[in-house]
Order: sequence, then structure tokens, then C-alpha cells
Amino acid sequence: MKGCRLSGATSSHAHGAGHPRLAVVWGLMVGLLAGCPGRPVSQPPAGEADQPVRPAVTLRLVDRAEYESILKELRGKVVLVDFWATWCIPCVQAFPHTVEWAEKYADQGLVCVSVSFDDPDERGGNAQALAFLERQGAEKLVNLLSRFGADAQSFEAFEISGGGIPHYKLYDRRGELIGSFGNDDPDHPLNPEEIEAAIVEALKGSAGA
Amino acid sequence: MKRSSKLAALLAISGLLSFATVALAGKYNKKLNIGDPAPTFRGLVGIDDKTHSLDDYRDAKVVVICFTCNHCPVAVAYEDRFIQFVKDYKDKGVAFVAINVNTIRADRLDKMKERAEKKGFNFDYLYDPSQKIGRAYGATVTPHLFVLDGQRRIAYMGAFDDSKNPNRVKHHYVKDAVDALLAGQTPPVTETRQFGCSIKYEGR
Repeated sequence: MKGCRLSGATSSHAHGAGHPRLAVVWGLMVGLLAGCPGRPVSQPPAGEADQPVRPAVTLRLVDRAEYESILKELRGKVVLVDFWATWCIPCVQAFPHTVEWAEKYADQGLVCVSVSFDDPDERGGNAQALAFLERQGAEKLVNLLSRFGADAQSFEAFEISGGGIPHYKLYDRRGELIGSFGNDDPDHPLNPEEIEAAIVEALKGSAGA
Repeated sequence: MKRSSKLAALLAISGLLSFATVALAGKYNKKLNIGDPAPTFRGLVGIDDKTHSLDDYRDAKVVVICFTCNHCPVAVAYEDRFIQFVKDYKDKGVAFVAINVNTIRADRLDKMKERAEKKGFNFDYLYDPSQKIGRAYGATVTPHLFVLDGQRRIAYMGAFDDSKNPNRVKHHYVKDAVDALLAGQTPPVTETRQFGCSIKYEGR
């Protein structure tokens, strides 16, 4: 439960941070991280100047309904979801793009969510996926693990069109699905440039947030 | 610069192609629909170092084509089921042909031979590094299955069954489709969502 310990550490710096919007986002992210019962959800991050503590990556087990409620909490943001797994070579290769976009477009209102199709262990986690996310520096992402792992139900529940990952879904600030990107057409392989272009386009739309 | 113009051309071409095929495609397949003539193949080299054609199986009442590969854990999870399927159906006039179109190192012909040897594959396992046959079938993942009827039309396409975990299988899609065809009937389910590892097609 590294995540709990670290988010606890951040709460000592809690009040009066100068970035109310950031605080809200942070609160939202912390609120989304599972397994920290009783932890207040509206704490801003540690004073970023003096203590660049890297928050730990956590992985939350979800089904489709839980995924939807997380998306609902992210209304006002453009959300990119990356469906991936450690066993999926092209997913692992493409993952750095998602981390990069999460960083690059955060201040314009992008939040990136990852949904792993690794098989959950008996405690509802997956050590390999977590280790990968840590190596990738994915702490800025909302990291989820599909309850159905690498099985057919995951692909069905999340409507992975070609039945293969990597697969991406893009939601606008109102939470509407505005794009799906995958390998469902052999003549049109997945292209990160196309995804980034769609993100940029979506961010232009109603700067609400 | 060159890259982006190439991309634009690719987008334009694929846009046209998808427009042309959209009415014909299946629910989970951009290239084929149920009832379409099965794309044929010729001269695909197998793990036996011989070349194989769809026509080699002309005497089979039903042909099952299985796009698979070595590296994918979902495909691997199904290997024993494929072997058992062949045991159960080869004497009923059903041919099972596995094809790999992935070209990463772990999936090349030498590795296919190793894998087949280790698992004791009892079916032809063919390699198409041109990936043409995968594109023609609209194969997106491994494993991705196609059941061809006596006229070599697509009678079923999608997943082998409904769970990677053999203990959780409730619907045996491929077996049910094959049983129906052998009984002169239409498969009860003709298309399902295939699932597994994306086939890595080379860009063009």
C-alpha cells in the first residue's frame, strides 16, 4: 500500500496551496486511487518546489460500470483511455506516448487513463502491470485494471472493436466518446500521430473545465 | 515531411478502401462478412518446409483457418484446445490450418517450428511474412478463427470460444459452427468478437 503512505505524506502540505484548479484535479486523482480508506480526497500535492516527491502509482480494479463512473468524475476534462497489457508488445511500445501526452497537455485539460488487460491476482492487483507503470512514470495517469483480465469479457465490456489491444478511446469534456483508435483494420494500422491530432482537436473544443 | 505526405496518402487510400468495403464488412471484421467467398492462398510455406494452398484441403467438408502466433499468451492459452479439436474432428472431414502472419523475431518460421515441436502440433502451421492472407481475411488478432463451409464461404468468424480460461468456457463457437455445417445446417452463431493480441501489420 505504497500509494496510501505517499498520499498521506502529501497531506502534511495540504492547505493553502496556490493552485485551486490543480488541487481539484489532484483531489480527483487521489479520490480515484483505490485502497486508501478514509483518506481525504481534496488534498493538493506536496509543495512542488521544495519537495519533488513522486507519488506512487496505484492500480484500481474496475468493471465497465466503475470505469464509467470514473469517467463521469472526469467531466470537464478531455480524457484519453489507453487499453493495454504487459503481455501486449505493441501496447508496451506505444505506452510512452500516453505518458508524454498526459504531461504535455495536462494544463490544457487532458487526463489520461490506462486500463490494463493483465489478469488480476487474488487480491485484485497485478504486480507486473504496476511495475511497468512505475517504470514508465505513469503517476500522472489514472491507472485501472480490468476485472476480467486478458479474457474475452474485457474486450466485450470495453467494446474493443477489432478485439485487440492497444486500443484507445477519446472522450470530450462532456464525457462523449469522440474517437476510438485500434488495430481493427489491417490497412489502417494504429497511428500515434493520429491520436495526438485528435487530442489537440478535442482540447480546442469548449475550454470549459 | 515525406512521412506526413505518405501518411496523408495512406489515410486517403484507406479512406477510400473502407468506404468501398464498409457495406460488405462484418460486425467485427473490416474485410469479410458471413457468406463471402473465403480468400484463397497459395504457396505458403509451412513448418514442414513444404508449400501449402487452400486447395490442398479440397476434400475437406469444412476448413477451419486459425490466425495464430507464438508470442501471444492468449493464442498460447488456446493451443491445447486446437490440438484437441484436430483429434476430435480430423476423421469427420474437417481440416484445421493455422497461419501466422506476424513477422517479429519471436514469431518467425524457425520459432514456429520450435513451438510446434514442443507442443506437438497436429495441424499444418503456415507462415505468411507478406501478411497478404491476414489482410485478405481482415484478421486483427491472434487467435482469430474462420470456419469455411463446403463451398468455401465464410460460415463463422471470431473467437474459438468465449473464454481464454478453458474451465470458464460456456460457448464453443467454432465447434458449434463446425457441428452445424457437418449436419447440413447453418451455424447457430456466425460472428463473435475475436480477442487476443493485435496482429502487427507493416505500414504501407
